[in-house]
Amino acid sequence: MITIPRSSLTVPVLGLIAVATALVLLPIDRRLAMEVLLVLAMAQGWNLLCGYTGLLSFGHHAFVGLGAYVLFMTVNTTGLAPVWSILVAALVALVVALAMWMLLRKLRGPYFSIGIWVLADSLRLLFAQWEWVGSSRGIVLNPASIDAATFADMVFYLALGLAFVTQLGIFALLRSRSGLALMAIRDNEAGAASIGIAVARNQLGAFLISAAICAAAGAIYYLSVLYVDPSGAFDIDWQIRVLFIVIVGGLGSIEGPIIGIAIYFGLREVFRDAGDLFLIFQGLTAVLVPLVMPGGIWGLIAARTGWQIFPTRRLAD
Amino acid sequence: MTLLALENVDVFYGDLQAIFGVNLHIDQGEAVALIGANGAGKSTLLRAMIGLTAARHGTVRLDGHDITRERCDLVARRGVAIVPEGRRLFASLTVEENLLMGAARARPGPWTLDAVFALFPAMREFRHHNAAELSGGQQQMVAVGRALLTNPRLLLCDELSLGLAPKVVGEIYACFAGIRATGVSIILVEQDIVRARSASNRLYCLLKGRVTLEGASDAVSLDAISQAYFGERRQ
Amino acid sequence: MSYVEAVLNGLMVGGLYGLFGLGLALAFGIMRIVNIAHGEFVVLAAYLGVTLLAVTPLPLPVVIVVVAIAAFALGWTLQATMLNRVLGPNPVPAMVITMGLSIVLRNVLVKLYGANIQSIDIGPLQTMGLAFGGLSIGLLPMLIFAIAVVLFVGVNLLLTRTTIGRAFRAAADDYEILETLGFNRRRIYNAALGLAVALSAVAGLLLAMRSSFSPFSGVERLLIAFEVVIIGGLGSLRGCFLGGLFLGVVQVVGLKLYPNSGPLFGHLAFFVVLLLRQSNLGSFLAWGRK
Repeated sequence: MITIPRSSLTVPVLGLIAVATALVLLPIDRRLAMEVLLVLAMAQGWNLLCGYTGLLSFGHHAFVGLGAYVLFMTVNTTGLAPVWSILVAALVALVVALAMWMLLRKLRGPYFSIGIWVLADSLRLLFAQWEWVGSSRGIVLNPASIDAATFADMVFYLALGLAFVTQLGIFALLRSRSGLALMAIRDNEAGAASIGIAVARNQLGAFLISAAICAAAGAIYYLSVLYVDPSGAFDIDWQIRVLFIVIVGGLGSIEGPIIGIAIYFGLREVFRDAGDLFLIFQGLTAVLVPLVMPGGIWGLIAARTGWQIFPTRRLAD
Repeated sequence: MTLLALENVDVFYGDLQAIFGVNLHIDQGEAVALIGANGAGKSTLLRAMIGLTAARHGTVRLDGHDITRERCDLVARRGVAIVPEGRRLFASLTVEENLLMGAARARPGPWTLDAVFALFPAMREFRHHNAAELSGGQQQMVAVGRALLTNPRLLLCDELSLGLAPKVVGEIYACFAGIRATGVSIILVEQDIVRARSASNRLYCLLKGRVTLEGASDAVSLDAISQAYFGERRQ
Repeated sequence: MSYVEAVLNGLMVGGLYGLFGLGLALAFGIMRIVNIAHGEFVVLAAYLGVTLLAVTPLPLPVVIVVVAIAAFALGWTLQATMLNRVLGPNPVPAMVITMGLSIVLRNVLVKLYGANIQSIDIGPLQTMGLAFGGLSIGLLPMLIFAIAVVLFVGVNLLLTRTTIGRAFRAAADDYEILETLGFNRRRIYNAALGLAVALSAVAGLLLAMRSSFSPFSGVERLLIAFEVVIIGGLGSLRGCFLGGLFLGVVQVVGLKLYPNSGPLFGHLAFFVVLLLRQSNLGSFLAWGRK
């Protein structure tokens, strides 16, 4: 019998509850916390696709922007509450992602990476031309749709909810049968295919999940600023940020993105007044990590200690 | 004089050990056959000889130089060449271009484009064809010619007869006399035991990565070979 | 500008797009590396050209040669110091490294030159033109197109007539066997990325004489190069050239129809080709043509 030890759930579950409680109760900067939580969700989604199924996407900013625009248009034209509009945003992203997949399915490896980048860039250009969504001027959220008194709390709890649903959902997924397939693909794609794992179907699944998560995160983020424009929402910087976080933290593990998040936001605070220097430093790190630390920071820790905070490794007894 | 010597060589693919403590040597001008079943480690051993997969333990010496961990291209320029299993011609190059690649970093020696065409006269006819358009036998000739053009002192031949008609195999082996006349030493990996014995001075039999038999080709009995080959006493 | 002029202009800028694609395709074909910093190298070459023209008395042709040599050295160094260390079946490390490099280059250019749009002034040649049959065509675009054609022919000769060129093709087919013939694979890779970057740099400098650029133009250039390679079919010199011409025409004509659309029409053409490829309709476009 091959199983994951059940007792191993204690640490991650108690840990997540403790973190959530601390975030709610402590007097933290909730604006910053919201951004951290949203980027964490995006990074976990992107990592599911790139870290586990090996499809490196350079175009997930497409879904960030798409989610934001769908939310704004849904709220402004139908009057649906912002909370429910987030679900609409995720659903639309699912459909669009499926269409993108049909278009890109012939492109493999690096060509998928840039192919989806072209799609993201096309969306940016399209939204900048499209009068109905405000073209390059962007759009403002209808102020009547929100309650100013509770708005800041609402977006914080939405971000907290999305981050924890993503974190737990991906954890559960990796512990399931599908998770076994995903990890097999991560470790050896050709080998996984040869023992009958449907690589393409798992890649599609991970792609759809990651698209929906990024769309929901984008929707919540731009909801919080009440304004969206194409050059911001479809900014490649969203993608670069997620890439940096996952690569530095460690591709293909749940722990990696969490470490990456801490480093990214820590550095951003350190470089707060240095402007472009932060970006240059970010680029240099991306250059160096694959050379000196191919598994990222968590890869290094796990190789030395064998630790798993979120246990997905199976034991045969 | 010993040209190439392997001492206690272990070769690994990742964590998997393929060769266990192999000792083997070949003299100048000699032809040595390497026989054994599929997966016995014959091709792996050839890869260790030319530096494509470095031996993890033990030493490989060419002419007394330790080449165990030397880069493949440097070993090649010391005079080791390989006719790889499956021929592996450069598919997008023409026959002549394939041959030219062999000649480009060649050591000085007797083998020139004309000498190769003299060895395989038919090749002149299809020299401008794409390598991918050739028959298996034609491809094998090009692979041999390409390796010869480097003017090797040691030629490693991996399963020349694989997938070829017996008549074609005969034609290729018929050229061996001409090749050996130039003083080249040859290590021959072959599944066809009869062919291997007749084309070599000595032979080694490999079983699961270990040498199980070594001797002069005309002295070892077929019984001894089959025992070494299959690893069991057949009554 | 009439539509005929637009098409001719598109063809002429398309020669440069072909060169962008060729640089990307060489690196992918030979090393299986997609250089994400490709576009930034193209822009870097333009800035280097601007600087050399401004601070040195060198004439334009010499500047082009100097930029090409510098770009070759840059490509060689990148391959030798970094990319050769992550060779292997997994393309992700090389992509992450070049992605990081593109961020560094982009922001270093912003620091050095500012984020503003620039252009290269090369004097009277910029405005000279020929008029025939009611059409007027600039002399500079024609000259640039001629250079692009010459470079394509030159690369073709290099790949078929020289040892290093044949070694590039052989390395793409089977690098292990190439090593057993005495070739140092890494040196060949260094030279290949050097050539790829040099070609794109020259194209980038020439493009800068026709249209303006900023530190942020790199992404656009990379996506153009990528589209050229996919439209033209992988691994084909002729494909790159034709793909470049096609994309050039689509962009220039598209811009004439919708002046603010930027590279959107190029992207759309790319998707149309992708869709055609997926149906049998497009099989005449020969996906794997050599």
